[in-house]
Amino acid sequence: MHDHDHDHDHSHGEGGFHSPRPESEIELRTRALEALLVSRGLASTDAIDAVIDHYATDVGPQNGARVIARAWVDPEYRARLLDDGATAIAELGFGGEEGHTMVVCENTPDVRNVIVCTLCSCYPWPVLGLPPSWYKSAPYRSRVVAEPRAVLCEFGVRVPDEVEIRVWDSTAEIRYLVLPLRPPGTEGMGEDELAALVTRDSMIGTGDPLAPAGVRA
Amino acid sequence: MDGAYDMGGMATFGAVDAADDAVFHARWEERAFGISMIAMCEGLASGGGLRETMYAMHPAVYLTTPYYGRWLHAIEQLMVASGTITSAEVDAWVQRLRAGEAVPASSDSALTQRTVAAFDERLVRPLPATARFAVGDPVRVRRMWPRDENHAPRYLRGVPGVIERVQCEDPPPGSDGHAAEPVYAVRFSSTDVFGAQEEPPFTILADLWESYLEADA
Repeated sequence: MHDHDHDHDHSHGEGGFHSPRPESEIELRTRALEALLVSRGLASTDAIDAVIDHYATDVGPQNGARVIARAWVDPEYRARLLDDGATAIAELGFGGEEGHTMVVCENTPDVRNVIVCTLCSCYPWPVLGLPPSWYKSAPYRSRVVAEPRAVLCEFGVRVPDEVEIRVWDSTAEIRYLVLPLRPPGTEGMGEDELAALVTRDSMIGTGDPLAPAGVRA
Repeated sequence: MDGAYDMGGMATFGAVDAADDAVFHARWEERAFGISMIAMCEGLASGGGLRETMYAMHPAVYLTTPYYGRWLHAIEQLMVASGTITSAEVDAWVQRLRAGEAVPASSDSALTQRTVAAFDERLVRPLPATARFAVGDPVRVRRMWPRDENHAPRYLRGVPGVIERVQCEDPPPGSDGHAAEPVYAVRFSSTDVFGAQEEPPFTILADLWESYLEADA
């Protein structure tokens, strides 16, 4: 079972709009639907648990971090990754639902990529897991395509004027992963050490990789 | 059909709450996700698409329903539409739970294995055999008033762009079973989309089906 049931349930909808106690009704209806499906034998408690566990533990940004670290140390892998994302990602054993067709966007000193889905919440599940709440929120979905520098500031990221921001709106079945710049001071590091520096947000474009210990960010 | 889900370019939702980054806020959200995935994998919700059903929500309801509340709404609607369950059956379980009955528990290892295995199935979307547009071609997003599910965001309709990539071949979303057609990544200048802004110009890219595009001289 799960140890991350939080008690700070958010009962608001979008953009801080508070509607009157919708959550208890939703919670009750969710339980009713589960009860109905389980009692009819159409779903089972352990299968529901397994779906949640799969995306809580087996699949997550730790997968994407392996992909990025490999691309940082292996130029031929990096070339294959940029050429055909899903096939190169499958070399490391990752793929499937919400990641069948993948495009990897490479950051350079002159270009910074940011991923969004303005229409819903499309996100590359096999490499990043399920999306964080802010990615699915109206403020992010509406504004990152209109004022990306302002939105990135809300993540503590300041992008110099001369850097081109490229915002990728995932409006079809293609899913995106950002290949962030390898941090300075990581020369000689192995893949495991490098993967530990790759944050989820650095693969969405709203953050940067961590700086290695002893190097000022 | 255009609805509140299509929020790219809106300015009134406020700042992004970057600290709100949990995947799930509460147990019911996890259960709603798990139930939905099982229902889709098992063909219990074949009465239409999950996304399409969320897109069709009344704007006021869409905006005030939490993210996984939309999933719950859509999966129940689809299971009703496909004849798997009735709303009255869910209502009856709501009453039983209110009266203190517990959600029944069950185990089904075959269902568990089948569901998790389905997430890892790979699907290759081929490159189109023929495509009307090539990389570098100037295009414009068509003006439209779609009656069924459509993934051409309003903020890009009528805007000129350039073909950045030929992505794959895929049937466009919608209720009438369209044939597969090419999907392109189209590059737009923020100036063409939003005019001159306080921020320096940037680039927006979106994936658009061929039927959403026309040649731009």
